[in-house]
Amino acid sequence: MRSLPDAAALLKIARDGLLNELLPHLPKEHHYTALMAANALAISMREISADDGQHKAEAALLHELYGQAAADEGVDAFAAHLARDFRAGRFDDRLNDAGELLMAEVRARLSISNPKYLKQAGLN
Amino acid sequence: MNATTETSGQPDIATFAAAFLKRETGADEVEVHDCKRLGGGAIQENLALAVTVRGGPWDGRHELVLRTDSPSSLAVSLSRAEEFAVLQAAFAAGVTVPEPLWLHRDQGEFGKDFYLMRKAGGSAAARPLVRGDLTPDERDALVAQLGTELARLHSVRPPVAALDFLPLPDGSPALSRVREYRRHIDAIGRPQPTLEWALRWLELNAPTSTETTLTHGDFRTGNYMVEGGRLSAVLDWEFAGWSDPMEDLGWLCARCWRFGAWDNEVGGVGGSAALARGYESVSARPLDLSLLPYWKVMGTMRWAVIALMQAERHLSGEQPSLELALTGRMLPEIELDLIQEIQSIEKERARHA
Repeated sequence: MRSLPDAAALLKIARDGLLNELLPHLPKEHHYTALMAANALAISMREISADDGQHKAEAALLHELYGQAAADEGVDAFAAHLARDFRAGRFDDRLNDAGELLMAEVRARLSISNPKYLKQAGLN
Repeated sequence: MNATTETSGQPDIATFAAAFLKRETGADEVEVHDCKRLGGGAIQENLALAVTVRGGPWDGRHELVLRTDSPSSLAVSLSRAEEFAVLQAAFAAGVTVPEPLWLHRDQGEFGKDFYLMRKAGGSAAARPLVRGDLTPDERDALVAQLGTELARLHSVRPPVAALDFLPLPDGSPALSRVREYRRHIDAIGRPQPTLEWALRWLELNAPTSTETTLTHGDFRTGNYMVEGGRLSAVLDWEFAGWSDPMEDLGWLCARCWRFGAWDNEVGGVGGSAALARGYESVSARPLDLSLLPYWKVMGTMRWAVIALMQAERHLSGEQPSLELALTGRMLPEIELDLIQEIQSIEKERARHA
């Protein structure tokens, strides 16, 4: 059974309250903190409502570089491995391809952290 | 005005500075009229002092800035005494800096070192500058001035006896940075595949020809003052060191320091042609702009490492902070910049292959 409103809806209404009802009454020196709090709520809201884009991008990256077994294991287990292999030069002959795959993964994370930035970078 | 009430937390600094100035200037009397904390660093504290010196060669009224460590000082940057020596070297080389005047080396009388410099006019605020109403000509002139300042600074080459505390890069400055950033990432202990990818690229593509000069280390919009459209002072010298001069240019031009004004490559203010023109107006050598894209990647990498370190202060529980937490969430932006910058260099290279 699911309680309503769900987490995303609660975060949204909390953010609206912060920006529309509280912010106008705050002294100017506290606006920055309030805006940061609103941003933190917006990121959380997008994160819990996110599709599986990041998961897919990570799986594609691991599949391409290590094969299907690694993709099944997931990026959390493989991040250290991947980082070490880049440093050791294991993918030197396909750094550009790896860059494309990393780009898809970074875009997925950015669409949660700061979608406006993606837009400014000409990617959305 | 009662100066001691204005210094919030350091009730005796104005009194101490007055006695110090009296000795240093050989005055009969020094009066501090005003002592205000200036905005800025969490690491350093800057106090604006208005003083009247009576007697001696400094007789008259002076607007000064006293710079000292803040209570939460970190040991990663230069000490105030070292920074004073760098500022003197930059001033002697003709860089527009607040003139460094007197250094207090503490022997326990006050509790910490400080130095005094002339107060520069203008504002260092970045956003009003990049969004401001400077005309294209004024922007070009300001950017050219940034180039001139850097060229003057980069005319200082090792060895310089007064700067012997600055370590020389171990071999290539670029490769030395790659090693340094890897050490920082390892110390944090969270794997960073995208950053490792970019660091490997920086390692494989490190420039073969390189030179070593005095560099500012944090030369960017926000760290220089502008008054009436002209640069009035280059500030914040605590990251100065010996490095490849292009590192300063790459940092200034990296996307992360354009404050949203991405079309203006040089610090959100103007274009690199004006920067090169200003640089070459005083430098004995032409500025090789073909190296700029590489050093922009290096600058972006530096910002990634700084952001990681800041976020870690929150993540580790050392300093819970909303601002530091959100800095952690800026990493994807910086990673995107790195990938796009590297891809555009590679595309350009493929086109000419």
